[in-house]
Amino acid sequence: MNLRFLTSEVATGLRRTFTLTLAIIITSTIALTMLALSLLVRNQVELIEQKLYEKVEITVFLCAEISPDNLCPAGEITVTEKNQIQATLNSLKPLVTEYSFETREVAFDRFIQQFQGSAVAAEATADQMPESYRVSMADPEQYKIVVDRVKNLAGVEYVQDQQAVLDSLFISLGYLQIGAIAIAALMLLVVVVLTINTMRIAAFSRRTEIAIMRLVGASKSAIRLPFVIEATIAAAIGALFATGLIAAFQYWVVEQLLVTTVEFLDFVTWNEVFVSMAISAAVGLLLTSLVAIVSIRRYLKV
Amino acid sequence: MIRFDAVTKSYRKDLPPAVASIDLMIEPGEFIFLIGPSGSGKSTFLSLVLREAKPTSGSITVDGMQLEKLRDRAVPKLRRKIGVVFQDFRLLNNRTVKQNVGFALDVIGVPRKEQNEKIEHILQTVGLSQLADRFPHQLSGGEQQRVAIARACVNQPTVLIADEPTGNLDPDTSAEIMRTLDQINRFGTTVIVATHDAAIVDGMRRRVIELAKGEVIRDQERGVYGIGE
Repeated sequence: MNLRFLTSEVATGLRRTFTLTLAIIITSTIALTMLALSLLVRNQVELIEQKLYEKVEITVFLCAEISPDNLCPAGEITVTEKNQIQATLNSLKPLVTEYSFETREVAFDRFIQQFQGSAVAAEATADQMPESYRVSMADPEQYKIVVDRVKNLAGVEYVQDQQAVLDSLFISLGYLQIGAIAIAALMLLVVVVLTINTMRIAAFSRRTEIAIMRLVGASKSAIRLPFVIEATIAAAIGALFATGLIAAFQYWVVEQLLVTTVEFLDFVTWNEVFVSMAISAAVGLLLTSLVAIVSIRRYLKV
Repeated sequence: MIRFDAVTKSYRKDLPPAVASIDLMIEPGEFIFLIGPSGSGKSTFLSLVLREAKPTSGSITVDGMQLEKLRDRAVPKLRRKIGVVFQDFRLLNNRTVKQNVGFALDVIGVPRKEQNEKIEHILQTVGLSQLADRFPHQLSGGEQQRVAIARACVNQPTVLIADEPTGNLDPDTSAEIMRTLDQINRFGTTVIVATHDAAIVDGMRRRVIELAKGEVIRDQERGVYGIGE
């Protein structure tokens, strides 16, 4: 089969199934965008984990005079109780790499800095600030062990772990990823169904040509190839659009917005974007051409 | 060229076979009329030659290829040796005469630069050189059928099968089509015409094979349509 003939066959085919081809393009655009997005969310989660887990620490707030009775029934912490807490933290080495004691004054300075210019800062006094131990860990993922050991000791008001805050962030990012994957899967299913239908209608709309092709001795592959190419072209256009959407998202949302406003986090770079684009485009092209090959074999008995 | 050895074809076990133990030999360059009423087995005979159907038993050889043993992927090779023409022409209406004929070359991968000469030659043979750029709807029935013949023959098949080629045509045009087929036959192509048209059979006086209920009931050199004439 010569190339010019193949090209004109494909062009004719695309014209005849224009609306269905359009539907394949639109659904694969959505499917592949979502697929690439879900890959990027996973990359982003990894980046946040790497960045934040290094810095995660546990703060053990100690009972002060003003602490509520239900948390500190014995009132302000005693020296013996402090020693007990330090002994416990020491016993948790090497999981606990280091810890430091933060006095009321240091806590107050920090508080003033954080809430500079606000009404709260103006009214606060050093007496209202709690003393605390700041604990760093070798493996932040095992923070629960430390929290469990420390939180019920006498003289501890409560234990704040940043990990818990991060966990809720990761859970919502996880939902975002699952949502994107679900939409991608659903849309890919629609792409499959549309491709099957398109192949059936394309085969029907060209039944005269196909009958002649068979009679003059065209090979099976020569008869089927134009159909498969048509479906693959539709998928390729969809992949192209998806790539554009992801690139636009990376440029406008991540680079122009997130990177400049959320400075303390690392965000996915073009490297990760290109990889996710390539993966989703490959999935789209392979899936569609495979479905096209299988369905045209079914509808086009040669 | 074509040889049938005890060929039987049954489509369903509870029905009598469409073709029943046919023995037949067609030599290269012959011109054959295949006649018989509807349901006599003509169509089955032709689809067996084209390997659209496989025999239930027996052996068929076409141009050295043994069809009951032929693999599916070798079927295109067989079909390139056989040209087919139908009662309803089966032309592509959105293509010109030249493009319709070229289509048969395109799909088997003949390069475009080799096509022109073949197309011109065959259009000249069927007498359509002047109409090469017309579309099918601009042609008479006879002209359309000659386009179909050109398409079937452009690849120089060894056998040309014509299934009721004059079924849609008036007697004068039918005679014209038969002259075209005769012309093709003179170049050495074996021609098999399945028909109900007594006039063309009687007019040509060629070998007649008559089928009834799947069996050959007459095989006559220089025969006519009606029996006993």
